[in-house]
Amino acid sequence: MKALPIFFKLLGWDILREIRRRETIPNMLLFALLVLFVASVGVDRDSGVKISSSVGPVFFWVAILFAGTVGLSQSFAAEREGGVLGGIVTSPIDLGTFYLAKVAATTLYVVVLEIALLFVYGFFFSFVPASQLGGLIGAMSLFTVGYMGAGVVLAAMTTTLRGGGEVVLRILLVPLMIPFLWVILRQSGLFFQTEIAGGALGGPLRQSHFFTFCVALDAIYLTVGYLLFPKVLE
Amino acid sequence: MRLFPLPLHLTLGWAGVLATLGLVGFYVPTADKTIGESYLIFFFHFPSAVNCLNLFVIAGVVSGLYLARSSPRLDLWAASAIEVGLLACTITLVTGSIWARAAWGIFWDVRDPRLMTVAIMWLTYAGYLALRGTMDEPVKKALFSGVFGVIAAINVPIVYFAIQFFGQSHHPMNVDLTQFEMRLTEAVGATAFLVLYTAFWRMRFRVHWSRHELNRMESAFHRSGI
Amino acid sequence: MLPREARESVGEVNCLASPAARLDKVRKRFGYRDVLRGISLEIPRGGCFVLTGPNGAGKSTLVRILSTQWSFAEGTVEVLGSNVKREPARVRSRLGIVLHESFLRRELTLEENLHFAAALFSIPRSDQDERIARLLDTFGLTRRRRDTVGTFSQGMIKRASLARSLLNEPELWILDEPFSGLDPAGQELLAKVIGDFHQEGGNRTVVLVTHQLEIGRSLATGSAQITDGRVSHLSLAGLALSSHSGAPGEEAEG
Repeated sequence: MKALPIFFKLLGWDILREIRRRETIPNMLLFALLVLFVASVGVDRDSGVKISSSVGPVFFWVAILFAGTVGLSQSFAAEREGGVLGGIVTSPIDLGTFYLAKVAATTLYVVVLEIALLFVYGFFFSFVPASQLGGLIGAMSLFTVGYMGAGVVLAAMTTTLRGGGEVVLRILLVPLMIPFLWVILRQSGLFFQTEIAGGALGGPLRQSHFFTFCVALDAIYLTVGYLLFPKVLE
Repeated sequence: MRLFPLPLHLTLGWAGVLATLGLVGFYVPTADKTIGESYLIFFFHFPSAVNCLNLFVIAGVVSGLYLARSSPRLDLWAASAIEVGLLACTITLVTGSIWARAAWGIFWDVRDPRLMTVAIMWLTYAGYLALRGTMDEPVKKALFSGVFGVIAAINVPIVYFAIQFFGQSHHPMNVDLTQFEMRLTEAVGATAFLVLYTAFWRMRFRVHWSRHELNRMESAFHRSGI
Repeated sequence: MLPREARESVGEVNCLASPAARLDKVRKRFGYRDVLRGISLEIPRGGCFVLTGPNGAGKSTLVRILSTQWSFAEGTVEVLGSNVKREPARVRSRLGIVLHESFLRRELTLEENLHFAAALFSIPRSDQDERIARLLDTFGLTRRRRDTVGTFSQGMIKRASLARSLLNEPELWILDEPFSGLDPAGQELLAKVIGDFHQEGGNRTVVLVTHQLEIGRSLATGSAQITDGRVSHLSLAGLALSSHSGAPGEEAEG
């Protein structure tokens, strides 16, 4: 069985469904917007630029972290509707390929969310300098791959729980992602041209260190997910 | 296991802890100029921290074994290890906090990487227990717990690395135990807590296993239609 | 007992001679309860094998194990001569499955759904259109092929999932309560399709779970009654039922 054509087929169908339903991305975006909106209350217009710029990026990432779990459980709940997942499990394709396609699809949705959120962030807080946009989007993508790599396995489990298990998904996934998020936040000081949270986390890492760290984590989460995902669907 | 029955195991553990208390109270010198008397809590804090880490790692390995073998015993051993590990983790956090208050004047320092590491581990494994709590079906419970147990264990070194390696901590890696009395107390404390926590581990497993057997018998009884 | 390699090669050669499905002391547990209690059953090639039994006896569980959707704790299951745990992909590519869930995506049209399923089974692009058109015609779905499945009624969804299950031209067709939700015309049509499926040669087999004994009796070439996780009656000619249900037929202890 050729895995690559199946991978692209599965990814294509997932995107087609997202286009038809217009559900995952808009819901994530609304959720993230709410977080940023509530946070924006804390911006003090008179003396405020400093406060908003040092805490703003934290809110930005927190919004993404929580919105991502919304997207994951929605994307998987749709898969369970009508037993579609059962149809995939009982077909001769390799479930690891299905896992990778699912990670690719959800990563795509979350990266779209992140880029959209950047504009909103600029509107509420301050715009990211154009020279830093490339680096920021790259860092976002690296984070999201690892995040979804772990998230898809956990969402496959939690969507079978009573009441959809969205809360349990958050309880499980967020602590796992804190160290990754931490390093991303330190690096964000560079992208947002500010000292994050008064430098409590320490400054940005060397570019090569940061890149190696992200790629290593992505590789770990994807490998573990690829091996464990078929077990979960048994 | 027959050679080392659980009541004896448990008694030895508690006796060891009492002995540590005695040594800390009456034997170890307290006149340390740099850290003061508050360092005495170290003899309870340190063994808990080490055993918590050990239990989490063991739970990860046993969870992996469960995924390979699907034996319900392995799942219950892993779950018991995490329960006791979480207890040790809580004790580590509480004793650490008390110590921090005495030594640095604050209960909690958000900037300290070592504190954050333990807090993240606590949250992760509290999540494990939350996940178990939502499921009734034992096979599914065991499978999902096994998967999360493995992922969580793999995440432990990641947490450690991400936070420890890059951040800077003013948490001492080890207290400088200059005198023989201190080292003796440390050895007694470490052994005592190792024995006590493993006894707890066996105890929790027994509880889980008995409940498992009871449920099985109950369902067989209902089926037989007596 | 031959060594494993030898047994496997024999299995390859005698593919057609091997039974459609063979279960050996299969045990499946739900909660603390054994739903299947060491069930052993051999379903011969060719014909329509009917599974009957009261609710909760384990029929649906058995079907899900045969269709490789669920794993099981103990025992061995061979489908079409392949061990389902060792060669799942080989089994899956030759099975057609209709369960209570439709396996269809609500937001896609019927035609898109069938193309999606065809892609999962790696059916060559050139064959897809022809097969889909033929199956849509068989089940009277041609007019609705461009509608999204979300707009379908229960009966139409049933017809659609029947069409989906035949896309890969299976050798073993597993049907769990396929008649429920179908109108009388649909039931008659399905009975005819089932008959044609195993009579048209190729040694194809149907495994049918049904409570509708009338239809079951007219279709069955063999049957088993499942009671409390075990085979209580087995027949290799027609429908067998336990004595107190008053139905005739060869009976044997399972």
